[in-house]
Amino acid sequence: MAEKKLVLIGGGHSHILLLKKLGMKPIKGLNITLITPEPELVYTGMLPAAILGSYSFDQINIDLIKLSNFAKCRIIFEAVNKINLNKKEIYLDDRIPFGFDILSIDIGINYQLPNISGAEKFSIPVKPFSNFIHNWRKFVSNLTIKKNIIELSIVGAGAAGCELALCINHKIKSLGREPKIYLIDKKEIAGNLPAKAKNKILELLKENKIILRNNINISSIAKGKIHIEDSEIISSDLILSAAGGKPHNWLSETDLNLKNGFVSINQSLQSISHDFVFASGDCASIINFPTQKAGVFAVRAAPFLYQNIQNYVIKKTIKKVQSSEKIFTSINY
Amino acid sequence: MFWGDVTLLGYIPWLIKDFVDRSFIKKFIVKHSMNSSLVEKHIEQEQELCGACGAKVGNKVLESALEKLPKNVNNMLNKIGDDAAIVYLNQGNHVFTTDHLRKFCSDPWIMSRITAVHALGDIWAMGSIPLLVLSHITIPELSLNDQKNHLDDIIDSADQVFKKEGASIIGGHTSKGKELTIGFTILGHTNKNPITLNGAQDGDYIILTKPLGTGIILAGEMQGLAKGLWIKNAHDWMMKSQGLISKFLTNKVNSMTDVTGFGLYGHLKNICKSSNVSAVLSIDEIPILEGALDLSLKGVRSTIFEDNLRQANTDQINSDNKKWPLLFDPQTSGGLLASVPKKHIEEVQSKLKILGLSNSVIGKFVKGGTTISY
Ligand SMILES: Cc1cc2nc3c(=O)[nH]c(=O)nc-3n(C[C@H](O)[C@H](O)[C@H](O)COP(=O)(O)OP(=O)(O)OC[C@H]3O[C@@H](n4cnc5c(N)ncnc54)[C@H](O)[C@@H]3O)c2cc1C
Repeated sequence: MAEKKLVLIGGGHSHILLLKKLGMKPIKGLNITLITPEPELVYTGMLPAAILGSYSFDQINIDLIKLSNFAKCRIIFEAVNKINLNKKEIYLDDRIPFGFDILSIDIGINYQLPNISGAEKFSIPVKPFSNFIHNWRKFVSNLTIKKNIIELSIVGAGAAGCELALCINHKIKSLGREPKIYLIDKKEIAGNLPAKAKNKILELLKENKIILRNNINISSIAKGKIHIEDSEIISSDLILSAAGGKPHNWLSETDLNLKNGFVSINQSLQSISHDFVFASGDCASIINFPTQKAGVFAVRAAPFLYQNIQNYVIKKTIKKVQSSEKIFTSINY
Repeated sequence: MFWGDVTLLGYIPWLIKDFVDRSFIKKFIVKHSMNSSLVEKHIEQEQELCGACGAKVGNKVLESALEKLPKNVNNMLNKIGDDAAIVYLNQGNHVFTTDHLRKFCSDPWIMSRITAVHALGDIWAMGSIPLLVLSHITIPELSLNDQKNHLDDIIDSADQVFKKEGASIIGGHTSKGKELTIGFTILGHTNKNPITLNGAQDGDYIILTKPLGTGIILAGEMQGLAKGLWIKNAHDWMMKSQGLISKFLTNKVNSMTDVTGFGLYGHLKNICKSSNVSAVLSIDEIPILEGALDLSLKGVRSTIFEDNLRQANTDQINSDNKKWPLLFDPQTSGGLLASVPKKHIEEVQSKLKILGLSNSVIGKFVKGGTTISY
């Protein structure tokens, strides 16, 4: 029996658990490759704790080399930005086309501020986390320079932005400085959150004297300065972007069916246009099935991903597949 | 909830961190993943293989991997695919060397690249340029499809390295075996006298062109102690070609070698013995790979470490500096080690800085004695 080549694009939160499971219970006849740019995944749920200092940044990293060794999986450090689904090939810089039989995509989303001049150069997106952490540590170690009031702006007041604001506020205080933190959004603060959560978080933000700026249109960003359309300038020692969570562009250059840029999948995590493509985590959206973009969903999808990939492999050989329609529903209980 | 003041965030549904705690991370601490078990995916074998011709990889698989190589090659009269290559040699001196490596990482493409650079080290150390290459590859029993993919990757990756240096793969042999092994035999050329171990002078500076520690990092990986970041960084260094550096150094050094299996100490000792000089190392100046010292302090050693240490047994081994074990760490695709006379040292140092080596000068040679002190 010829082996099937499973290629995992992105060492995200679903894939790390999938790999762990594949290491413990290998699927027979499956040859696995993980393609991802970095050798570590920052475990998102613990990022705030690391910012606060309860854990070291080392402790919140999941080592993808160890994990792929455990899963007997080949690991390639590249960012995928081109695939051909007819030929079932992935194109990587410098390499010959990389073939696959089954694809699973778990690449998360981007947090680059779109279309704001200077944003790329003078603000730091929270993702990739590794880059953010690098810059954050540099910032913290430079705080030794005498300066009492630390000004910092966070653009994007969704759950992530609010959480960051509170953590950073706490951290700066614990370093004996006075934080002055702006939380900026072009719409409402915590606008996407359910009413109860929103009220609670607004209360917390106020209690911690976070400066809230909603309905703000940023016109440009310069070194240490955010220019607002009404010509106000917010000066900041550090500008972070937790806004503009956007699906990766290259997905739209594939034949995959997308919705608003996210891979449309059914409840068995399969692309609705290509049954040999699975997708999970922030980069995918289940059709007619509202889920939020959060690590918790990516994590909970993993056992179903394992199950359904296994089913897919078996189906192809023994032509019998258990309907997996129901399986996924339990994720969003 | 585990992190103090911000507990109330639990009101945000996606921040309910019941699944998020240290035990989650702990699930990912993989114990002891021995390398040998990495990607050995054996398919069931219907019949025992004969180790001689049975070990040969099917013609089709090989042909398709070789297909992508150029048909006409300098210094070669016939075309790839004949029983043997007919080569003609230019005037001058020729150097001829071979090297191979056993599987140490899960990606054959990277492994092939590193092996190519590793094998080229000998050519570069002689101040020569590579011309022709034979490959010898052993691949494990995979399904046919995989064999093809692996071979394609291996040949393509190595070919890119050699092409960049002006050399061509013109043939080789591929067989099936227990684990992936990649090797290259390289013929190189120089119009001048090749640079040897003999020639280091009293007062010459000792330079090293790559950080030490690949042996410790790879041993650390096998013991599950090396971080992914360290491993990837070590791979990146091992893949770094030294063709440019070698060309640049050729007329500025008195002797040169590449640091490989014997470690810095062993290879430096070879220069000392051949040139009848002693080496005084500034151990703090010696560049080392990120993570290598951490692992070394934990007692991680390559299996060849003891051999290397034993080789030096008549010498007084000084273990005052915590970096000392790195001197005996065997290197894969290690740096060039050369003696540079004073008149060139500034130029060499600043050139190497441009090429990304912040410190390359690691000591000095002094008259007589063939000892190494640090
Ligand atoms: C500050 C902050 C705090 C958060 N806190 C929480 C929280 O407490 N709880 C929670 O549930 N969620 C939280 N989230 C949301 C959470 O981070 C995401 O929902 C989660 O990371 C999504 O996981 P994923 O697997 O989809 O993608 P990711 O975890 O982002 O993983 C994507 C992987 O794909 C790789 N990759 C990217 N591009 C490519 C490419 N082109 N080719 C190959 N590989 C690629 C990346 O390197 C990465 O390894 C937080 C987000 C932020 C910004």
